[in-house]
Amino acid sequence: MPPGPHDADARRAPDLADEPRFAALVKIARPIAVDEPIRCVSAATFGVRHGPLEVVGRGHRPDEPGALAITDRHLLFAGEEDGRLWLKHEDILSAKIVRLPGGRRDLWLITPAGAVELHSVSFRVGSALEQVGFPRVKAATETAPKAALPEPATRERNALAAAISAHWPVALTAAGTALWTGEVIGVDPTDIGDSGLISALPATALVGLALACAGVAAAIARSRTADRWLFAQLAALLFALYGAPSLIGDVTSFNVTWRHVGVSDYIARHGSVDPYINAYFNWPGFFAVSALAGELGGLDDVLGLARWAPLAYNLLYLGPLLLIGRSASDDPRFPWLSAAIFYLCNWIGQDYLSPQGLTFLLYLCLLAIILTWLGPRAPIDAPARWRGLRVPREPASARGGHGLRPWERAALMGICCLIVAAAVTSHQLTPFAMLASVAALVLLGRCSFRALPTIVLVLTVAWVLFAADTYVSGHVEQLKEDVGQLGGVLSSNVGSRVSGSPDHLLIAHLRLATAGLLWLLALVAVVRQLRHGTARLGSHIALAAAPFGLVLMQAYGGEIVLRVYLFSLPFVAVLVTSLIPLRTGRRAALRVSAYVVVTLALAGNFLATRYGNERIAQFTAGEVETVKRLYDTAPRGALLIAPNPQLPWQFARIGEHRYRTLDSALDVDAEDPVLRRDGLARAIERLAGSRPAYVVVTRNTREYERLFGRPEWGTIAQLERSLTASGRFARIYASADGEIFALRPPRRGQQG
Amino acid sequence: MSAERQAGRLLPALLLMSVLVLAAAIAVGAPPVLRSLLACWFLLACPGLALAPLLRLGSSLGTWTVAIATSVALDTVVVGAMLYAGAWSPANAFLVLAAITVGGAFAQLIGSREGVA
Repeated sequence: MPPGPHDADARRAPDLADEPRFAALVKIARPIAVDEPIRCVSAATFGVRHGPLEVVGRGHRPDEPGALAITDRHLLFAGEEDGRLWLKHEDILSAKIVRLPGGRRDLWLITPAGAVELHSVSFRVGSALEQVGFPRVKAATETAPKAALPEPATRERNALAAAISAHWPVALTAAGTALWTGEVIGVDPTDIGDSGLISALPATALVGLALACAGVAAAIARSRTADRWLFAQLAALLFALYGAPSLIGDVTSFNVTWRHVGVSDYIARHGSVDPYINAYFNWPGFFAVSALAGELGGLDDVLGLARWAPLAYNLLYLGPLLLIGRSASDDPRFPWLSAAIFYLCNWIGQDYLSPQGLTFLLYLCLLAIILTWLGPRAPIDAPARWRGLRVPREPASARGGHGLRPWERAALMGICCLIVAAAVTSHQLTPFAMLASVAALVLLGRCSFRALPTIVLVLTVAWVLFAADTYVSGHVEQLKEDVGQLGGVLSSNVGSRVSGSPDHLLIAHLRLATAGLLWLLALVAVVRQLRHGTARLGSHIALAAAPFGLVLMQAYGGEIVLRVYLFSLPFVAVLVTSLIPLRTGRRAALRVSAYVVVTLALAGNFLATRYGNERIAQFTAGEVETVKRLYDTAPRGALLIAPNPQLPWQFARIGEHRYRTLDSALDVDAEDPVLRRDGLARAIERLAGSRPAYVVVTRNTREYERLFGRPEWGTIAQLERSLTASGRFARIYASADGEIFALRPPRRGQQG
Repeated sequence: MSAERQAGRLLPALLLMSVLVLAAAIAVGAPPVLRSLLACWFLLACPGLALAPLLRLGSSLGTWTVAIATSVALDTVVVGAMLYAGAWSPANAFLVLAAITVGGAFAQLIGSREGVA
């Protein structure tokens, strides 16, 4: 047999598609490994087969020449005749390069089903196997190949060992998720303390979460885990992190969710929008879709869907997050790692049933499409993939950059426009984040769809001027106030949020520290990229930085810094991942341990920061009952007043009542002479004017005050005393979880 | 029938089934839990899954991502247009999205026949 490998590395691979043996390799790769970067392509000869090894194709003959490829997940061989072999890395118990006299190298593979030898492989095969996670493959010198067929009993033991070795992280994740879920859904909302959910969790729950996280971390660290198992494990972890906590108690949590349910309910009942009611009705796209989902689902309202929204959104985010990660590195672990960092650092909590949750999905998809298919025409440092090797239907010259035909590219551009249109109709802020991001990519020459920023701008401005003009014209001064006011914006976004009880302060500081640490690590990654002069992560750096421009635009009700953190997080996660050593081979146990430790630390931090507000986010059935009583009592047109927004209201009959909170209605009037002289009851009477008015106080409005401190207008206790003493208000409902005061109608002759 | 051809027909068949099953569930007034699951699957995935595979993006992850983005965007634009046109109707919105799904599914079937031939 002639020695001498006729190998070709990945970058020369496309030239080989014309050779029959490589064409055969491409053919078997297409259905199973078309997405996988190729580590090595080598000529090889089919040698000896021991045992059944059913994966070997029918009718192969010894010494049949062919080609071998090692991808990130598979080892593939295609002979010039019928010899076929495709093995997943996880099914290979051991791989060994044997150097024979004359310089020939053979590859010996042992699997649970048998062993196989491939002769005359390239010297690069050993290093390629190391790259994809096999223990360091040293070329051993042998005088003659040895039969390597294990005995049947040994084969069974090997199979069991292989199954355990391959799937113990899966078992760990499944067991941990089950343990965690069982404990979390049993938490009583009233047991939750000022530091949030973590204060009410038993130790077994924490053990469960630790096991689930350890399983996922180990699976990612071991490069031989198949994508389907990684997906299953990450999905289980997402259920643990985002799904199970939503099932605590019998009542949907978070006050804003209830408000959003009310807007969907309005659209379902009226089939129209009234832009004068509130801002939501000026950007109703999401609410119309949720109303449609409720109608098709036969639901009375979409409260039932709301409990599953965080889990659903985060599962939907996974696809674009993985594409974004893939665009940054050829290492198969990189996208999973950056996605895990995103999920473990996403404490912002905008993934409830909300327009921003949906438009964040659109934002991720838009940028994933650009990074994957609409990047520069000449790909920067593009990985070698089967796409380049396969025999195209049309001549290669007919296909543009990124392997797309012109009409496919045009269709993707159309989809991008559709995505922007959907975001523009659904949310005020996301289109501006899209604009900043795509403009940065186009300016840096990293997006070949150069008209996209103009399209985003035109659609956004057109919507603001023609569809949302009711809201915008009524808030021009307020919107203008914040433009360029960096100090004021930071003060309202950061300073005012770091307040409250000592436990809650700790959570606020943890959140700031998490954001600061991530941004610092991202900066280190940027510096490292610049020092090494590599352009691979240029797009991701631009996308991590672009959302910061929004800070100069708006305070966004004191939330703009949170939103900037969210918009930049997927790309910050990519930059942070680029700092993590992904080399395989030596010290595998140390690497797995390091991944597990870091993941556990991030999970603990996530638990504290993400669910730090659960004390006030969780409602009781009694609170909902109080609000329902309010709706049963209050006539159309009544003014409904609460001390602060922390109650489950506005979920029905939106547009029939006016809603005010004392925090927003009276905070600027702390020195008001009426308030000082006549007390809160008189101030509320003045707010009501001639209309019927009701004041509702619930358990969580009290908790909110206790947690964040006394507002400028006074305390809820003072409010209750003032209402009772005034004689103008009657307590019409009282329970352990809430009470309602009604303003008595003025007596004949009495001034209002 | 080759495995490739079978796979090419599986997705269109799944999409057509999804439309029919949801329509039947609505017609017979199936329990809300079942209807909600079917409705969410249909709205989040079906219109996009009917169109995205026609692009041959070369990666199942990419195809699913584009499909979900397309579905959500199409849902929003279709119901938004109905809302502002004063023609809000969940039934008509379903019919429009179902027509897109069925059209895309048939295009896939035709494409897979031509591709194999």
